[in-house]
Amino acid sequence: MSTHEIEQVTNTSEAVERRQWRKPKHSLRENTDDFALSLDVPGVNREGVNISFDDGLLTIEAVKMRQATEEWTVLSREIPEGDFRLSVRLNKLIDVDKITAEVAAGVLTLSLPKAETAKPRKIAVN
Amino acid sequence: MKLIRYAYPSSSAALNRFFDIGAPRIEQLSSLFDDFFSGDLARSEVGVNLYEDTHNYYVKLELPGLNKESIDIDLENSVLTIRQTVAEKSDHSEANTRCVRTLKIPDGVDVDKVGASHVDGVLTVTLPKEIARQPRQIEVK
Repeated sequence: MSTHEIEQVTNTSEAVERRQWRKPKHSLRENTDDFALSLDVPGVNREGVNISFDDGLLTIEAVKMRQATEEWTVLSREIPEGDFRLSVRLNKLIDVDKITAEVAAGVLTLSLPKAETAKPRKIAVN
Repeated sequence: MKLIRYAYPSSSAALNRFFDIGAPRIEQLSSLFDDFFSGDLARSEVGVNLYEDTHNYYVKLELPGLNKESIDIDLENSVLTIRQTVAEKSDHSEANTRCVRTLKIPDGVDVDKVGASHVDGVLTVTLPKEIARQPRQIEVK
């Protein structure tokens, strides 16, 4: 790679806006029929949530609503900046088409239903 | 005092068994260790942001999942205390409170007009500045 090509690569990456992501606090619980994944995403409502699934990887992005705080003068900042992003690799046990999600009070809850084959079943003894 | 259980993953093994998180990065490793060692007893302090504009000071906290009724805000001697109450669901109606955060607020606040709102899990306390404290233009005659 010539030095000229290297310069071009560097300039392009500087022009690209760097997005800061926070990893949200989350919890995972297994129920009989599904997994419940809940994420703490304060400041986010349903319009800011983007859930996508690609090749076994579930990606959740949660963008905060534009808040009045952006016009105020900052005196002290402890809360990390950035919107929320979490990626989870799902194995084949989940019925992807039936995944549901809802947001309330800054908590995003997903229900990941287990695939039929994975549910526990009783086997009758003849 | 009753501990409040939060369902954060209690062991990395359980998490890895059901979902493959992928190659752990440094920050994933450290957050897993935090959950493993700290558990419910050592809750990290809630961070606050402090802002101001011409008319008010603002205090912002992230309290996802709590409903308005369970949040108590006290202001005394320039110290703002935010508490979370957990009502006992038993015969005795004693309510337990847990202190979430205290902070000192600047002088010159009109204490009677302090307000708070809780939207999408974000608590914003608005502290109006006393009139004497607000910036003003002084005319030269």
